[in-house]
Amino acid sequence: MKIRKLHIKNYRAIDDVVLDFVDALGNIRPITVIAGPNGSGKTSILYAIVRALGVTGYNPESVPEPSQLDIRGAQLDSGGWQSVAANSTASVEVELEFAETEIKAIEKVYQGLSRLPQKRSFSLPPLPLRTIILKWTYPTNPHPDGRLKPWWWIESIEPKNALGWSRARGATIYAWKQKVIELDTLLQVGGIHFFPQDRALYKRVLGEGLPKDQAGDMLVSPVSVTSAEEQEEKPESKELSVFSILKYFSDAAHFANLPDDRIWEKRVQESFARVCAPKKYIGFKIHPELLPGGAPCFKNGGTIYPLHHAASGELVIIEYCARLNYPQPQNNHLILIDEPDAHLHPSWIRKLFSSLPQIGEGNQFVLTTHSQELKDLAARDKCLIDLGGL
Amino acid sequence: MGRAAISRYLNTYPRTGDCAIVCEGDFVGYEAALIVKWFLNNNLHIDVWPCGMASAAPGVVDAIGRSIPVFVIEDRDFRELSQANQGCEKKKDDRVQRGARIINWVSWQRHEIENYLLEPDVIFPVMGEAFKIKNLDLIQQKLERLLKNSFSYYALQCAIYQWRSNFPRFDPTIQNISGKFQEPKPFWDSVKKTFVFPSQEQISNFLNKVADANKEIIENADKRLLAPKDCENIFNSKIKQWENMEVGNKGWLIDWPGKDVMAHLRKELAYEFSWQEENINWDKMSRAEQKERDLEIEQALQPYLCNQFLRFLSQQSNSAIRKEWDGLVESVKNFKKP
Repeated sequence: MKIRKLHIKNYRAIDDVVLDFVDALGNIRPITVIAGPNGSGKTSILYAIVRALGVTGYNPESVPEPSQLDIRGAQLDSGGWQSVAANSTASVEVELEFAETEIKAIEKVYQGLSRLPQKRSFSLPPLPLRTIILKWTYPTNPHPDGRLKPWWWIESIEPKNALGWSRARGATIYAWKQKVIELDTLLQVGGIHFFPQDRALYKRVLGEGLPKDQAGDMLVSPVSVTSAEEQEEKPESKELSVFSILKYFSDAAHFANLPDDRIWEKRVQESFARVCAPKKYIGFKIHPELLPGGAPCFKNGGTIYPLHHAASGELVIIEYCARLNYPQPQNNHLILIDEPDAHLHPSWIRKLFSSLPQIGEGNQFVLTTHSQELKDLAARDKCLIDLGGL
Repeated sequence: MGRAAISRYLNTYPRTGDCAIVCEGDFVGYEAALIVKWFLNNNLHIDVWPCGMASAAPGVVDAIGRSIPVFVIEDRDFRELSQANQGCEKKKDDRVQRGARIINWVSWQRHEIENYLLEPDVIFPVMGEAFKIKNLDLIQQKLERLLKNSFSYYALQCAIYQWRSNFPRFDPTIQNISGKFQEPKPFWDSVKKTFVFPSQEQISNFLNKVADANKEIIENADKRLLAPKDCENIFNSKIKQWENMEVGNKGWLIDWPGKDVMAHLRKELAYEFSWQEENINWDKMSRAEQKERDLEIEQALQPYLCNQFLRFLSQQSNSAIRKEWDGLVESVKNFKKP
């Protein structure tokens, strides 16, 4: 699932903007970089994408749930809440494209689900152009009975009855859990992933351990399982810390007796090396005295050091490598990264830029930046959206 | 330059690379995009400083070469490789005398950067995708025809370049060649629906005119100058060398101006196969409109060509092209910082 076009109106810092994610040949660019000064709306664009695609079942904690304050023009004064005009709404229209392999996989998912005893009816209209267009507005319109629709409600979708396509990722996870699809199918269906700015980097990387009920539950996504057509279920996404993910990969690599091509720890090591070489990620290691509980470890020359001794830039890179392979490698995904350059030396920014497309297959990356380095790279590759001012 | 003099320049370099690569072209050109990525693939963090044209390189080297080691790559143009190397070596020595730290000063082994992108394994798939041509043989046929039609025009270009390069820069004769007499140029023929290149007869007439006009000047000129007859001799020898070029030959790929060949191929394909489902009628456009439209197409193709070339290069193991590009990297890796 990738974005071809985005139209945002009246949302946070954005007044009215239309963004194209395709190149001059009409192909979706693997990377798009959005550059601009503070307050130009870079993060708002990423938030708008995440919120407009809430229907997919993806609801990260790092993106605040929509509120009146997200409507452009809303403001607080010293007396408290000052509301916006009564008829003001924010709206986001997204044109999504599915890869051919992804379409076939999604069709298999729904065929699989239809065989379940508790089957529901799924609407999956054909997509001759491989695209759907979703429109999300906030506040949402009420139901005919006056009840307010939830914030993730889709105002309109084209073609009609195409909601099944938009919720394919959640349906795929559900189908995988119900054992009605193979791993190959699971690996083809894309979703969305958002990496916020580094405000909570250390917590995300070194935070809570793996909950017991998920330990050993290989290949189950943290994305909530949602039915294909019911919009009322609230999307829930729980994020594990990177520490936990890396431990999980290591356990799987050593104890799950998996074939080589399913050892995701190797993929993490390869992706990390592409940016950080000669530094290496060597896996989860235990030292009886220094690391009795074990920790993900790195190697630089002859020195081995654990995750909590790694440099900030290394934490950033290992987070991308871990999350984009958890619980399985993400392909055909839409991956949003807010200011990836904050902790990175320009040489690592360049390496990250060139190696992102090699993480998974058919992924689309949308990055925001203040960095002149990243802006230059993107401009040369004709994948820059410049909001001006740099 | 002494240690104290050098210390003035340390830490004053405004960018982040470990060395600077000075090349022709500009910041959005092929050189800038390809060189950064190629060195990055080889784990080298370099900065590219495009300087427009080779004659500007010494100035850029003067400006940054005391603060950062510099590697200069200039176009070979119509020079023989040995001739180009000689010129580069001289410029390098001049700049080292002025305190610049020069890693190397070389010319591309091909005419210019576009000549590398014209490798059939690079240009055909990209053009095929861009113009939605499934049968890549059609592109090859188009290119074959271009090579057959244009060799005498490029022979003329080469003859004039080599002849002119013997004149001292201040000699007014140069004006006579490029200003007083317009070189015959190719034009788009709307009836034949192709580019028509000047015939050998037109070219010979032009050369005779130039020879007559410059007779007096040349007879009285410095002995270093070639006689007008020599221009014709160069032209005739190049005609012999290039008249039977096919796509499979390396001669055109190395010696001809790649930028022009690519532009002609691009324009012919755009005309015949349309661009983004829009018919391109070059004959209904002014020269400025043609230029604008072609630039739009060229820019759209650029990232595809660069990526395809880097893929192509990574698949080569022992070829001349791979050795040349590896050599650039090795020079930088082996450069010992003082």
